[in-house]
Amino acid sequence: MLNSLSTAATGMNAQQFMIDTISNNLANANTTAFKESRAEFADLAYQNLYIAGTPTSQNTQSPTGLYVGHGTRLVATNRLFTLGSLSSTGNPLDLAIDGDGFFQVQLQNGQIGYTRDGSFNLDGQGRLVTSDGYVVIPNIVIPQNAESINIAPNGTVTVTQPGGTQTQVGQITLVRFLNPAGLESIGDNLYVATPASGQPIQGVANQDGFGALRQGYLETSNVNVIQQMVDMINAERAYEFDSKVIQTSDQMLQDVATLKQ
Amino acid sequence: MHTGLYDATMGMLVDQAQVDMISNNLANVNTYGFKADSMTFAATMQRELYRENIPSKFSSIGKMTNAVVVSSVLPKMSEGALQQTGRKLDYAIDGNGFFAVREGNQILYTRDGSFNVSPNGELVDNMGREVLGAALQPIMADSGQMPAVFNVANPIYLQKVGGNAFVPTAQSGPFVLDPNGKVMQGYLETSNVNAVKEMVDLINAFQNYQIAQKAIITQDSMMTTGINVGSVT
Repeated sequence: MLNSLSTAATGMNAQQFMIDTISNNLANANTTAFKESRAEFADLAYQNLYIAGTPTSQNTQSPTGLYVGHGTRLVATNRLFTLGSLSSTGNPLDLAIDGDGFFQVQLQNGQIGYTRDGSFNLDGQGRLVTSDGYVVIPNIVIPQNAESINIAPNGTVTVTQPGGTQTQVGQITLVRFLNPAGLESIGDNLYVATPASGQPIQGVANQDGFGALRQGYLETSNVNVIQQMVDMINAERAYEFDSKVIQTSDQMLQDVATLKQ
Repeated sequence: MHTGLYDATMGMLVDQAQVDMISNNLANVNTYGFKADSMTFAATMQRELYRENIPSKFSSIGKMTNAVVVSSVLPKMSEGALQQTGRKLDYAIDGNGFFAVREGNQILYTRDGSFNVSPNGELVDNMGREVLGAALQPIMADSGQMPAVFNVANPIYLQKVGGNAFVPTAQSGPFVLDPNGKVMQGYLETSNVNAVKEMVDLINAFQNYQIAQKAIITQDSMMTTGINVGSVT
């Protein structure tokens, strides 16, 4: 009935979505290697009653246009792959990537998952697995009699066995993507490749633009809590403004209804 | 008939148009690169009033305008606040100008610099439109090349087409490369909607709407009175 009613509704929907996104970011403020997302909007199509330059008579043109907008729409949730800070844990199986790159893990459905969460453990067979039990690719098997494990910045895994003999048991490789923002999040700190992210590019840590591996460190979440709180205020207030427009439009319709006595 | 009835109706329609515009501005208060619209009004249909309704140059008692219309809706091109994001594919233009993006064979212009990488490595915006360089060529994201800045003579006459984009009109003039355009990486330009102004305008438009509505009701009762004059009760 009134444009302003539906226009303000698009705004309320958008702000609601922004709050949803912020809420997920804040809930994951302490999730290892979590990357914050940002909701982004664009204005909807405009209805042009006439555009600037439309002839108004034989020899005059309208100097200005006349148009009305129809609100906003959600166009993207961009994941921000900036580096979180590295926090020291002292656990030899904790790995942080200091720069670009993802670890690869084997998912149950045969797909390969990608993660930056390097809080690894060993499973019953001595294989390196994530905290949710996904096996790291390439498989790294730690012998049962290993006394200590050393992981070099380039991913080479060396174990010290009784008698002081050092054996290299494998190398952790990384992948990166042209467009990491195009990766699909599937929960558990895991991502899977999509046509938008491009194909994974294999490589060795600490070379060719890949970050170095830091043993005994974990990457913290990159959520900037202060910025999230500020964004939340923005979204909440914008929500309120839009609701006022709806109230006003409602009142206007009521005024129209009372024209007829 | 009472011309005032039509005057007041025009008033209500104009106020409604203003609320529609405010609604769009407020819906886009968190849209990157958005430019708020503003509206101007004009009184039209001016006519001469004559004493005893006898048109002659001696009996003129002044002029009266009989309608209000929306005369223009124009975007305000003031710069929104630049927000630091630290994301390397975020760009903002510090000062005047626009980024050029290609949609099919049409080139659109935008100030929303939240970009991404396409599967073939080109810099694209959130709607997948290629971001263009100085020679209107696509930019490879890893080339380190910055998006080019283009500008027109009269940016307020640009036409909005949605998707945070503008296209040139005859009044705005054509887009030309601005070699001095200053692009800042790791920043985004926030919406330039001033929520305080919009809320005040909303109150004003609503009050005017109610006043016009009262004027209609008053004239309606005057006519009712007129109908009842002379009726025998």
